[in-house]
Amino acid sequence: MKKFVPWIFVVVFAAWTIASLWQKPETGFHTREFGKLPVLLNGRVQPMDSVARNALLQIRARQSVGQMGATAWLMETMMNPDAADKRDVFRIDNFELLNMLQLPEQQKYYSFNQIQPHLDDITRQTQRINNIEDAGHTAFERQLLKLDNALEIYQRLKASLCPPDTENFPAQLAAYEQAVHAGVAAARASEAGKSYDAAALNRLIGFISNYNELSQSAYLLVVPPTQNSGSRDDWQSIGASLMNVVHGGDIEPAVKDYAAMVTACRQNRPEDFNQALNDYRHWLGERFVPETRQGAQEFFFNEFQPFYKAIVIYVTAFLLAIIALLTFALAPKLSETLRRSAFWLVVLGGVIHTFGLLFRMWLEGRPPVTNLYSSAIFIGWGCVVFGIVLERIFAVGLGSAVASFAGFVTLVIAHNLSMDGDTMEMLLAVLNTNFWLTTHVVVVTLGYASTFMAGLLGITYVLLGLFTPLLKYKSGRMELGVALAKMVYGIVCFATLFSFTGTVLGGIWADQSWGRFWGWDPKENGALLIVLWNAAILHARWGGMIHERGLMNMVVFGNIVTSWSWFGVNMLGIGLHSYGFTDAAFQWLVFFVVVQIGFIALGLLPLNLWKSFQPENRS
Amino acid sequence: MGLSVRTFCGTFIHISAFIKVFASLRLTVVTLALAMALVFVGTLAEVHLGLYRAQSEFFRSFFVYWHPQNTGWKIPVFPGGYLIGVLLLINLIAAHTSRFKFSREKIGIWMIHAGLILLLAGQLFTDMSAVESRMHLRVGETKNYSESDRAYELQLQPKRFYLPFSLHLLEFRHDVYEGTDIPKNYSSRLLLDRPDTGEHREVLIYMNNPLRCAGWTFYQTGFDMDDQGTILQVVKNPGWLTPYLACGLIAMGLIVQFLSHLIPFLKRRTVA
Repeated sequence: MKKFVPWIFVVVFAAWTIASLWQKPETGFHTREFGKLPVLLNGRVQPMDSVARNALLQIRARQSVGQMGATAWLMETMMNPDAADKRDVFRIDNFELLNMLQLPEQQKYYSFNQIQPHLDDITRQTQRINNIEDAGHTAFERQLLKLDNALEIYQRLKASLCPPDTENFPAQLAAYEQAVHAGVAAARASEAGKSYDAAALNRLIGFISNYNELSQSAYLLVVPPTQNSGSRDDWQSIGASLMNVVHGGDIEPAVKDYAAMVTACRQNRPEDFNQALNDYRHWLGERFVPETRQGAQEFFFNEFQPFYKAIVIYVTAFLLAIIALLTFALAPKLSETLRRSAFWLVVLGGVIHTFGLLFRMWLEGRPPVTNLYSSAIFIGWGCVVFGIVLERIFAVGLGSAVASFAGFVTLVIAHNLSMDGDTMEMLLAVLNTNFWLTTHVVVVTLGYASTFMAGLLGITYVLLGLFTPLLKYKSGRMELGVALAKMVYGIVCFATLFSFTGTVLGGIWADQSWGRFWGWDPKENGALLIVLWNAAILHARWGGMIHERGLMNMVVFGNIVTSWSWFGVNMLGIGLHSYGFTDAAFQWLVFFVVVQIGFIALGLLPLNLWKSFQPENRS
Repeated sequence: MGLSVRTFCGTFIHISAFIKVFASLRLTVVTLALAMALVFVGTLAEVHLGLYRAQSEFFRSFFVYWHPQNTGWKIPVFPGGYLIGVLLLINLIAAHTSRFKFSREKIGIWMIHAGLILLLAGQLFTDMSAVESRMHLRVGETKNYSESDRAYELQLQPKRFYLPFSLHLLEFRHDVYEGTDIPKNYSSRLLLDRPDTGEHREVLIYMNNPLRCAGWTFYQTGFDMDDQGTILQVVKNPGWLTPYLACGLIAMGLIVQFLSHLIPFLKRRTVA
């Protein structure tokens, strides 16, 4: 019976993961199909669903509005703004800001209508704050800038598909088509100095200025490139596409279909909406095969949420592994069952994590690490792989515990980093090279992962040693403490290899790109610190300056060094690598460092206080 | 006679004790720790002093000095990059001359350390011999010299480095991703004219893709606001190959070393 327990865990969680792929057919508005439509934003083709989720993350710090999904919210915002304005979507936490906006403090989320009376105030404050250097911003000012950004996205979304207060957009387009003919003739006559129809010209100018405004405010580009535009990236906003009609040609089918959708949604006619949506999908499917596929694939990825699922599985695995460790002596058989369950759950989590990682790479056409967000995902992945290998070699449950913990924490960090918006953003010119991203960035990130892994095992040693007698327990032929020391030593060797090679590859990249092998850039220096620290650990060990416990304390300090290199240097705001800085991250970094120092302090306590080294445990 | 023998032995013991200190692992660990402290503080200093000044004060110096205000004093407070680099070099060489025996098990370590010696020495050489300058070209302009960022000649004109060839800017491109301001690529299309070899060809320099010609290397580094001019970083570095060799050697040494430990370890486990 006990043999099957691990399999039951795995099957249940695998079923839960896959079950989410099955969706009921939609009644009413076909929101999901709308969510798959490809559009261009941030320089890349992405589905409406991604636009919606990333916008909501920046506005509301969530990917949904209560029960309402992101795409449904986006549809309402773009097509029926009056209703959207009443919805509580703006998240404001800062009391000073709430007081300035005269908003009730207990609400957490606020509607556009509540904020609207203070828009001028917000603009004035933003202008003032933008003159201050980033480092000098107070919490109030940071929150205000965030709100200003959220408001800009929101207002631009509202004016992306259709000019404000348009009751019937298709009818307006029909009128425009007629006005173009007469208006252009009038304009030509006027230029030629002949008599012309001033009313017709004015009518056309009215339309054009309206559509010009629409093209200025549009947040996303929804009209795919026309036949005669040179590049496949040449997407347009609805406003810009409509303005082009003046130069001859008809209104684009995409514009007409979107217009029909907008009005159907506004007038709450789901059948008409679905019909227009279907027409458009059909038209797109024939002409824009890769874009349509891209939209559908990323939509699938958004909906599947592999990293969220991996988090849940890792947490479960971690709990099982901890219980297995604690019941090690009391109930060896139960402990072994739990240990194996934890291990196979980590493997399952790892498979889903890997799937997500590979899917992202495939979507982007990039190596795994392109920004801070993806580095978190990759570091977690690396730790999980190291943990699985350790568990295979040592089979004492520690590998699973550390792997699941690291996987869980890094994915949570990644989730928090995703609040800034699109995580698949385009790469700056310097980084726009897959070769160096594959070699330097991947290897150096593996160096981070292995150094963290060693540090985590170090913490495990300190905690188990101080508070439990487990370090002296034998698992197989080896004491747990000895096994831990061997694991850590092996991982430090790998960490040295990866961090050194990665750092050097970075140097070679710099030599290829700027003509100097080593530029003392803060991020390079950070990587160098990891190399130096790992080398110091190894030499101290070889020279007999440290033993088991010293090794553990040193690898815990490695956590500080690595976190500095991963996050800390980005906060300096200088150098080539100063991307992705968040204030909240700084507080977390300080917290993390303090906790690590705490662990080292614990690790330095005299041995007679360690439960594992009490005389009765010495065998 | 007896006295002088004793003195001789004493001196010898002193020297060997001296070598022992310099060859010791303890010195290695201490130097590595000093290097870490220096790199950390130097990085922080880059925020206030700027990359260039922090580099010359912390990394390209034998000592980091403290300048008390209102005095002309220079008080050395910490070893600088050069001193730490030289200490590591001495430590490595001393360890290999006194402690290490060449053997098959140690071949990985020998490779790593030889690579490190080459790397440190090569960087020291680069530091002294490399010349960095800039070339600013407007579209349609031709130049056969680059100019120093910092050194000025008599007529208050930047110091010029004349090249055995000339470059003529045909086109500069600054591409952005559609619908954004995010730069996608910067590139300069140039006409290279080299009289001594009769070379006359078009070259394209863009991010991560420099031009190497006659010992000089040109990198895309900046541009004019109107997108009608390019700024190229021009570097002459005779030691540019040493880090490649050194790092290849070290990486291979690391792999050899760890595999030679890992494989027997795993074998032992499968046997057990």
